[in-house]
Amino acid sequence: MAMYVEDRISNFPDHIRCHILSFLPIHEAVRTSILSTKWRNLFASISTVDFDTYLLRGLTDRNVDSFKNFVDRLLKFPDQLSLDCFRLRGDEIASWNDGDHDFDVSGWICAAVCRGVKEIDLYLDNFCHTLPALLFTCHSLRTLTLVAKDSKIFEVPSEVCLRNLKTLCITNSVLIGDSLNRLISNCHVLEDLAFDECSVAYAREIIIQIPSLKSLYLDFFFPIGALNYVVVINAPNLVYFRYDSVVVK
Amino acid sequence: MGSTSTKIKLRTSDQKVFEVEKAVAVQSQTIKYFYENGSPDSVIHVHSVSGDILSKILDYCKKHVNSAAGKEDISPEELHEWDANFVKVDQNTLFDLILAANFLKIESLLDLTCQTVANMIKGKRPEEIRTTFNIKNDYTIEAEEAVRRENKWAFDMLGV
Repeated sequence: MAMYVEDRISNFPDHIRCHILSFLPIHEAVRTSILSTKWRNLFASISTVDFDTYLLRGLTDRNVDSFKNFVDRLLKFPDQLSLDCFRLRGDEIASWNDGDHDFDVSGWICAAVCRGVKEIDLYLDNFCHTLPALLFTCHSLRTLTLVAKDSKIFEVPSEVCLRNLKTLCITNSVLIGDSLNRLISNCHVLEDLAFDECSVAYAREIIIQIPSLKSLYLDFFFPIGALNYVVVINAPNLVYFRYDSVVVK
Repeated sequence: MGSTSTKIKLRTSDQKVFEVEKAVAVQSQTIKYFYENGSPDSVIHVHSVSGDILSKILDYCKKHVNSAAGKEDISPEELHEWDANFVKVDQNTLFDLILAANFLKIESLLDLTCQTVANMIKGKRPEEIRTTFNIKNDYTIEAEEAVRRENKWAFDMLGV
């Protein structure tokens, strides 16, 4: 009974069709280019770039170059709209920058930063060698989530200014020296901060002084025998606080 | 009467007039803007939305306002199910809802309806998608082949 002779969807404004595509896995969004000429380049304007492990596993060896080409075109178009979200998902077995793959993850992140990305969400094998310095001065960034496969060293560059960051979540990292303090030092609007299964090395003090902070979660493991750490928290607007670590000063 | 019972008058494309509680109406950023920038008693013209569609949309807004304000005892799961039933409509109505949600700037409704269309695309072959939405393939065989080649990886994905 339901007969639709008219093709209404193809005549929707581009931003609505892009919004529809943003709810699809990226390979399915790209495949809509085959529907008709009106869908030809639509996927190139998506504002959420989400690469999951399903995609990582589904790529055949002979198509890796085709995929790399696609990502370059997608991210590095100079006159593209700003990007809402760039997400690289991984799991215990595979990630986008592990030894089995040679994707230019740093280049992708740089391109996302240049596109004014608001949210970056990464599950990587090792941040330290992959995260470009550019990421740490990204003014458009509102949310940053970093998860390391296994516990990995994380050294933050000397210049950090994430002035619009509202949510920061780091998982599975060993923060070297002053890295942690430096990372949050210029986050003046930060509301949610979480360090999950992290630890610090070559540092005595963790200083968290953020007036805007509303939620704080600290799950640190400290090296055995090193219990004389000092944690300073000055966050007068805190609503939620959870601390899963050994007792420190 | 307190400000909670303030009513906003809306007139649709088919000249139907709705008197709507302010808290419900301002779920629409467009209506909110007109209300705050016009005289409080004037009728706001939602010229691209029909009465039938506006009535449905107001049901949606009311449900979500009441649940957020705790006026209605409904769990997040129940609300989710209510949403799922809300978008069980024929394709034309669904599209009307999308265009109206876009015009009225109701973000959660635009997400809900666009997600519904995405689910109608998901897992389907191009030919099935074309049939579902009545899309006419206007590529030549050569042009279609070129599109396929350009992003070969997406068409060759394993296990899909």
